[in-house]
Amino acid sequence: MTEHAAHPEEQLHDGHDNSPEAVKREIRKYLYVFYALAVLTGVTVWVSTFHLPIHTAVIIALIVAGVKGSLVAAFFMHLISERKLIFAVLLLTVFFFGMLIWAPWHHKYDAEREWPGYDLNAKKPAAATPAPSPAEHSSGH
Amino acid sequence: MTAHVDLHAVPGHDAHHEIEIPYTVHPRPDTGVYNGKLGIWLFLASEVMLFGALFSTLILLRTSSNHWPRGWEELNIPLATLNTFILIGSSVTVILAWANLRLGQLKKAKIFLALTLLCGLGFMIIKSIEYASKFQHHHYPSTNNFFATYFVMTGLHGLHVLGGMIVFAYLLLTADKWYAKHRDQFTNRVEVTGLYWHFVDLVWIFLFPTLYLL
Repeated sequence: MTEHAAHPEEQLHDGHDNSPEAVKREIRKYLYVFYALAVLTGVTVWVSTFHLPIHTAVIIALIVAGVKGSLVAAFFMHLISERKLIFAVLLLTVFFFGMLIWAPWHHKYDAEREWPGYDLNAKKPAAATPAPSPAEHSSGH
Repeated sequence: MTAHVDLHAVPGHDAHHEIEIPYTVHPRPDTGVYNGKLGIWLFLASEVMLFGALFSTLILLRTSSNHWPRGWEELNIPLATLNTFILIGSSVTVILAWANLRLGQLKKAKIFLALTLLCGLGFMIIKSIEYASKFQHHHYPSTNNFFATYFVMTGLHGLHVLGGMIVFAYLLLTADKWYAKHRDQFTNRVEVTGLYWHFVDLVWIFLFPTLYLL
């Protein structure tokens, strides 16, 4: 088993503060984030037992999920101390993600104006089989 | 047509040097991060778009439908809640593995990597129990749009969990060799795999309420 003792000469060079004190502080922080995530998960499930109206339920669920997601991204993925380049990549991603969510939804409202009552999920009736043309009858097939 | 160039035949050229892509473990002065980290963030950006397309589809289908079942009517909330705790727990174990590598404690890091792998396995077992129950009740992706989105989104997420487990198993099996050979490189590998794993956790954080609780 290879076991390295943390030693000044053996410090990693990955851009993080790797002193034992700093790492132990970080570990405590990660545990606090874990407790927060666990509590928020409990809150989400507890709120869902009230069977709230859909709009209220969506708002609450998205707020709690947003807080949980931010905790994971900020602390576990250490975005809180990340470099500008990573933020630039993420900013571009967020923009296109927003477009991906917004564009089809926007189109849906357009469609509803054009065809009121149109249900995307409704099963369409089977297409009627076209009657054979006189020419096909006479061909013998 | 593919042109074939024999690099050995070119005077002053060494074929090995021509094709070598150096693995840099230190942050580059121009980007501020090491190459592996930039690479995984770019990959995660593409993953956001992949899952984003599915979330967009779900929103469109659900808001367009006159009747869409509430998650608790059709799905197993206790099992999904347990899976949420397992995945959150695995995010902590993977980051503790990385922290212990930074402290120079390989043995502890391997224990946390093994725990992460076990959490992934636990998640997949629970997910398969859930799927089996759905199939028993004759609920398939073809049943309706609700189950189509449920199976596609949780199935794709499950594949990501499986992919992460394979990488963790590889890291665990090769830990001694890599750590002895290049400690920085191995630590970075655990960090970028951890970033991927946290993203998988992040996707579940949004999938869980969207599919099960709303």
